[in-house]
Amino acid sequence: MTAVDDTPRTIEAGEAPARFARGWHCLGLAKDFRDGAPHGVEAFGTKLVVWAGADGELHALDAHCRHMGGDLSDGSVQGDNVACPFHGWRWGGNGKCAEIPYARRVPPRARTRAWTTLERNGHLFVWHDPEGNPPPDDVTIPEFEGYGTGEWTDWTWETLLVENSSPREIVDNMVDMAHFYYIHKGVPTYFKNVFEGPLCTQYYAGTSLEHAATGAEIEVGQFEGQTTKSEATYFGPSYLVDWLEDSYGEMTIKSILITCHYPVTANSFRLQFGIIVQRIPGLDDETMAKVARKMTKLIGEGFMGDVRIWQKKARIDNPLLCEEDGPVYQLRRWYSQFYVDVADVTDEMVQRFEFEVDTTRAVEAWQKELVAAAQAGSPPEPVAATTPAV
Amino acid sequence: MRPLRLGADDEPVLHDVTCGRCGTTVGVRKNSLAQTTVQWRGDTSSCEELAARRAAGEHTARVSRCEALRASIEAAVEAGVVQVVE
Repeated sequence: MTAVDDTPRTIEAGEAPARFARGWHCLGLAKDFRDGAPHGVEAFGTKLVVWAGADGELHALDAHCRHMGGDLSDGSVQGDNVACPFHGWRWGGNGKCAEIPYARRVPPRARTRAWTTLERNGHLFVWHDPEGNPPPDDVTIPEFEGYGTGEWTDWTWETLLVENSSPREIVDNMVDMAHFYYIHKGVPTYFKNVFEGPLCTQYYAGTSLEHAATGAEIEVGQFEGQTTKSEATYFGPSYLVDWLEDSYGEMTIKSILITCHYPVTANSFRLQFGIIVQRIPGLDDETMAKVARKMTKLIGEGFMGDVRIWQKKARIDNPLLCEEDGPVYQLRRWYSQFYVDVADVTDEMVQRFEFEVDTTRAVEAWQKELVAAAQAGSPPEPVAATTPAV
Repeated sequence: MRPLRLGADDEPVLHDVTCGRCGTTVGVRKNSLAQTTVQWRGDTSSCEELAARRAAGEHTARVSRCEALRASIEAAVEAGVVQVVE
C-alpha cells in the first residue's frame, strides 16, 4: 500500500494571463450605442470609441486620436465618421482618417486601430485577437431563432464592474456543480459538461430548495422532468448563452439568459447579463416585461453572491477536487486555447470531452439539511427561479 | 499564462472503449455508476451520430452524447472492461 501523503496542501496562486482572450466579446446592447453620440468603452487594457454612422452601422476604434491623443469618445459623430474634440480630425470605421477640416490633405499614414464589429441578436460584439488576425468564418455567434419577431420580450440588461478578479472565476462556474446549492439556492439533480472546439456546454437540471425541503422524493441523473432545465454554451471565451426552462406547475417559462464579460484591465472585467423571455399565450406585454424584470433581478442577486466570493477568494491554480466536483482542470485546459497563439492551440485543448457528475450524494445531503432546517422552523426563502450556468 | 498542469489526482486513468457502431475509440473513466468521463481523441468526424448532427447544422458541443457510444460504454462497464472506481 502506498502511504498517504499528509503534508498540508499549498495553494498555488499562479499568475493571471498577461494577454487578453482571443474571441468575440459582447460590449452591450446595440441600441444603446445608437443615440447619435460616440461612446467610450474601457476594455482590453485600453479605451475604445463606439458609434453608429449615419448609415446605422456600428463602428469601434481605439478611442485615442492618433494625431495628438484626444479622446474621440468626447467628440461627435459627423456623417459616418467620428470627429475628435481636440482638433476635429474625422475617423472612419475602417480606421482611416477621412478628413481634417483645416488641412489640404490627410497624411498618408493616418490610420488607427479599427476593431471588427458584429451585431447579432441585438448585441454588439468586437473581435479581439492579440495576433491581429480577422475572425475565422466558423468562429461566430449563433442567431436566436425567433428573436426580433415579437415572439420574445426585449432584452433586460445589467452590467457590473468586477475589480481585483479575473474572468477565469466566472468561467470556472461552468463546471462547478456544488456552488449552485451554496450560492444560487438551487439543488442540481443532473449536471454534465461537454467541451469541443471553442465551445463549452453545461447541462443542468435541478429543483428548488423549497421542493427539496418538503422531503419529496427527488429523481437524480435525469435531464428531463425537473423544475429547472438549462442548456448553456460558451461560444468562445466570454459569451454564454443559456437556454432555460423553468416550470411552475403546468406553466413553463422559456427564456434565453446571456452572461458575458469583457476584460477591462488585467485584473478587472465588466460582467453583463440580460434575458429575453418567450411570450406566454394570454399574457400581455406589460406582464411579460414584468416577468423578465423579475427574473433579471433574481439573476442579479445570484451574481452578487458570486461577486462576494470572488472579492475574497484566493486565486488558485491547483484546486483540490473531490469526485463529486466537475472537471475544473479540463475546463481550464479548454479555456487556455483563447490565451495562446492560434498555432499553439493543442489538440488537448479542443478535443471533445464529456463529464457527467454523479449528483446522488449531493442531493441526498442537501435535502437532509433542508428538511432538518424546515423542521427546526427555518424553511428556505422561496425563490421563483434559480440561476444555472453561473 | 503558464502551461496548465493537471495534478496527479486530477489526471484520471482512462480505459479504452470502442463504439460498436462506428469503431471510434475513446478514453472512459467511471468514478461511480452515475459518473462518466469521456475523453475523445482526434476530432469527432468518425462518429456517425455527431457527424449527422453537424451536417444538420448543429454544434456538436451542444449534443450531450452519442447514444451508440453510450451503449458501448455501458456494455464495457457490465463486462468489467471499464471498472467503476468505488
